[in-house]
Amino acid sequence: MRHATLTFLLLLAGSLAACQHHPTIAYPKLPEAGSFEAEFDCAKLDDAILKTEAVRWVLREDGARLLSPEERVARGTTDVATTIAATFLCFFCISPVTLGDDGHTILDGADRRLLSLLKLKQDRHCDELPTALPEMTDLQMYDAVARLVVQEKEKDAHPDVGALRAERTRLLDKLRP
Amino acid sequence: MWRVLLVLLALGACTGPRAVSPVDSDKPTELRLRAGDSIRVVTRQRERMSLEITEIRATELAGVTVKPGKRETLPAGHDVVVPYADLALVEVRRFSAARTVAAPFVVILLAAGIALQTMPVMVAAP
Repeated sequence: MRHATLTFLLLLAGSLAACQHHPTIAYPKLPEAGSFEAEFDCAKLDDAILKTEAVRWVLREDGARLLSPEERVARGTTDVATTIAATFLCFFCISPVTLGDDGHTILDGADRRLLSLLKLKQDRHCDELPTALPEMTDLQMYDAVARLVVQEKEKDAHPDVGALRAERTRLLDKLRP
Repeated sequence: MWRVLLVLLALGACTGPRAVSPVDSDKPTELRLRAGDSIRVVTRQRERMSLEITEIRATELAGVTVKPGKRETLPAGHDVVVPYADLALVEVRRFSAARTVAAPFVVILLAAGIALQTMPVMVAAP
């Protein structure tokens, strides 16, 4: 039985060491734009996009990344240990994140909030803004990323969800000029 | 072992971080910020800072930076004024009665789980 405890502790230490995501601040909830944001004019939408992008930048700087479905499944073996650790640690000192997912869930939430705000901006026919990619405006980036998100659901046609998510991250990392 | 647990409780159980991402330019009322609060903020311009609030104003908060956290560059002791419109993320740590009360139960449950795993199973004689 002592062997089982030792194995548990080793699993825990291993999974924590493998985790690239180290939160430096508590993260807020980032819901998709709803009825409140639907009332925003173009200036307020750009402001909300800028703020969400700043939070997403913090997530990325802290090491958050999107995982492929395979990576998420592979994490399953250590998820029990990390969930217990996360519950314990979060309770005491750090932000409520699932340690085992490398920030996937919160980063995915930030991406989806950004997309929902950009969609509102597109629906309002607001002026497009430049991004860090010279050939792409923010609304063109929205079109590209929205297509990637749709393709993620078409698992038969595009099995490489990991590559789609990597491309989504690459693009959204360049949203701010 | 118990001393370590007690120190953990004393250090962390009484405070809990709360964070919001303000969606408009008004004061983030959900955090009920007040003078004396220690907060960490991220601005729209991607600036990170830790500060102690000295004054809550109508359109901005004033404070003094404290020891910088990881990836923060502003040194301690600087007077800062942050307009509410610039806040992208605000984190505040406060005393949490619920956590303080519940923490010992979590510790006991974890200890019991480990004890049950490590203790031999006793089978009653027929």
